[in-house]
Amino acid sequence: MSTILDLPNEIHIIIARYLRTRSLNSLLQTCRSLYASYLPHLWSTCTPKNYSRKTIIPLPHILVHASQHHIDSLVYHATLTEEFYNIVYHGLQTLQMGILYEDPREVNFMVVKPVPVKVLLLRNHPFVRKFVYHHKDVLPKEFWEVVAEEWKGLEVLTFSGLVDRNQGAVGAFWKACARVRELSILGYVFAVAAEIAARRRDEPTEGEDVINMHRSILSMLEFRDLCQLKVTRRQRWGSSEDPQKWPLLLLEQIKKTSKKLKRFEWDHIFADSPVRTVLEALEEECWPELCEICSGNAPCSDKDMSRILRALLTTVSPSLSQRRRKRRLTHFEHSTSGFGWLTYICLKELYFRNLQDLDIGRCSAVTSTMVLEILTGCPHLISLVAPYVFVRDVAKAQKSWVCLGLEKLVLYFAKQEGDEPAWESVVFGKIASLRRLLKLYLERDPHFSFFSDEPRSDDIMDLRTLDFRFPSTTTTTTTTTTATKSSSSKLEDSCNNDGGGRVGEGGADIRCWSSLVQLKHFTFDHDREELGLDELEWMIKTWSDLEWVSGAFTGIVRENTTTGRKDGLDGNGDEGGDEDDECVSHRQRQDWVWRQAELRGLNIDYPDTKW
Amino acid sequence: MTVILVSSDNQDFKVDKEVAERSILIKNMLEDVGESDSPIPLPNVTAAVLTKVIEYCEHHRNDPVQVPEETDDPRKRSNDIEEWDMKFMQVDHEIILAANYLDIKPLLDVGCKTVANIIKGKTPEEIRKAFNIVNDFTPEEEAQIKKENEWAEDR
Repeated sequence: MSTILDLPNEIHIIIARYLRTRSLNSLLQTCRSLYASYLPHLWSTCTPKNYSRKTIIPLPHILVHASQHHIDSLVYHATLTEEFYNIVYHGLQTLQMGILYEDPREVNFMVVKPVPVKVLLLRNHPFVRKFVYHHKDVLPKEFWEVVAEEWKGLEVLTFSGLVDRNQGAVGAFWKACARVRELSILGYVFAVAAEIAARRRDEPTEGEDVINMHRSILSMLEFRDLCQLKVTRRQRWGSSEDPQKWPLLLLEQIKKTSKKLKRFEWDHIFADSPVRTVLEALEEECWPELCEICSGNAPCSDKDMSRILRALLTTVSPSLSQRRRKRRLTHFEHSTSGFGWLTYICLKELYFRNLQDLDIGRCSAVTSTMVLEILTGCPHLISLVAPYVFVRDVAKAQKSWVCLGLEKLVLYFAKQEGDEPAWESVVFGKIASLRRLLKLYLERDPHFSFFSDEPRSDDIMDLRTLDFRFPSTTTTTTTTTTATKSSSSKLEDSCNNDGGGRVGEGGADIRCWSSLVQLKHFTFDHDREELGLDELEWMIKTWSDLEWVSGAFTGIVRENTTTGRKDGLDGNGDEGGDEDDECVSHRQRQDWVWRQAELRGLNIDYPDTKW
Repeated sequence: MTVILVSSDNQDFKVDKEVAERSILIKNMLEDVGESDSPIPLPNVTAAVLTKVIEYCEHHRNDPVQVPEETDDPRKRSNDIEEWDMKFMQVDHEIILAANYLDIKPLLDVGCKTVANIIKGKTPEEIRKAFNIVNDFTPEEEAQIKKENEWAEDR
């Protein structure tokens, strides 16, 4: 019998892909051979200063330096000290300069490194293929010249920083942009260095001369390899950036020179609507590969969008050697009042058979009937974000769901007055049949109203949703897990046997979803639904890939004593002072839950009020 | 149409061509050889393991073969997944090795994922126990490694 130690390195590489930092770390501590196999993977993606967890203390620069040869992907937050900029990484392919998670407590908060230091960093890494830049300094010509001329293999560029608005810098910037396959420009990005110094964030003026400068530079460039284009505001919602004129100039040049454009994403940042340019491009057969359209919350009317969708279907010839064919639509995202009946009919008539990703979660015109038609009409759907569907409609539907490849579902299942309990069970069964699900978000308003032009209607907000708690007999008394298990297996059977299995007297609960073996994210409505230890324990045991669960949990106290370390994020987690009353087994199970969460890197997220 | 596969311990397996071709190695071999009835020797796979691998390929015979780039038709995938695979896998590293040798990518992925799932959520000591690993570090080395990678605890 062979063991894990006999596996060749190429298999260790695949296994490592499924493991996160914590697990890798445990694994390489087991013996010499695995240490050698997995150490490179522990380091392959390095964030010297990681804000996502508890600490903001950077890794020692010496240690990063010593491990540089393992690192192929690097994240430098803006507050890293200068010594990090002198390290040379021999295998670096992905470089991200992040600004997110600024911490005002830090001394060097918002202190931006001098540009020459950064130019040196770029120059030292000519093999970067993916470059993401979010620092907020104004970058001059020298910086962009390295990207445009020395980085021969650059494929992906994502940029939300600032480019000095002079001929040289803008010229080099656009030249760099014209070389990549995937280009994302977020926010207005052109500014004058002196102005920024004077006023922290100036209002970028786009005079006629500036427009002409962009036009003359762009007209010289060819975007031959460009497949994906994203030109949007820096943040999707809530930011007040002025619309700009250069995005349309860019799009027009791409229309003239790109044959490969596959995906186009835009929003308010366009001062002049791109609709006409897009329509012309489609009708003139410019982008034969285009199949992904995302119009953030761009002001695009229902009529305009439906015209785009119809024009998309024109027959095109991808190249001389290939036969003429019609374009398809595989990815569609739209999030304004612009979505309406005309757009929906286009989707339904022309593209239901093609659609793989559909996000209309913020469109108030979406009805329960539409959502049901999507679920029963789009066989290739992988991701669906939609506002709501009535439990009643799902239960009474004649057709069965065809979207069995769904990996992500964001949808509120709304119960109305007078619904029969059995209908709810049907919904449980339908969701149970989505065995590929990785992400399941069941909140009634996942942050939507807050940012959306149109808040979700109160009619929906007031409705209740699926109740997936265990029956109360098991939650109040401390049943042993084995007992829970035997009762649950019966339930699972009844849910799983047929896609729309009915369980008598509305007895379905979360255990119906044991078939969702790949689930990573699960969220539910924290002010509508409260789960307890039983359910949480069940989730951790059943869903072995679970990384993030969010909602409301009662009767669970987070212990800080197990590791003897203060839990930075959840600092005041242990205020519930009456744990003494809780029985021992409850305490033990609770400890097990937190220990599992800690070891597996599972994030259990619930509102502070519930502590 | 059937083909004959011969395991390392000289056992013959008669298998539908379509099933055998789940293995890219065998598929390529058959293409190279052309029409021929001669058995295919698999010197790296024992009969016990080959039985299991064939069982897997039978179960997945109708799955679409994974194509790297999507074709004109949007991607189609099988709907009954994982559950069967998970039960099938248990922990057998020999199947992973065979999948690697025979070039059956989905089986290789499921196998690796199963191993990863065993590792997840365990301490080094628990992992040693699960895989029968002997700790060959000196106590000093162990302490050193733990200290070196302390940063990874928080991430």
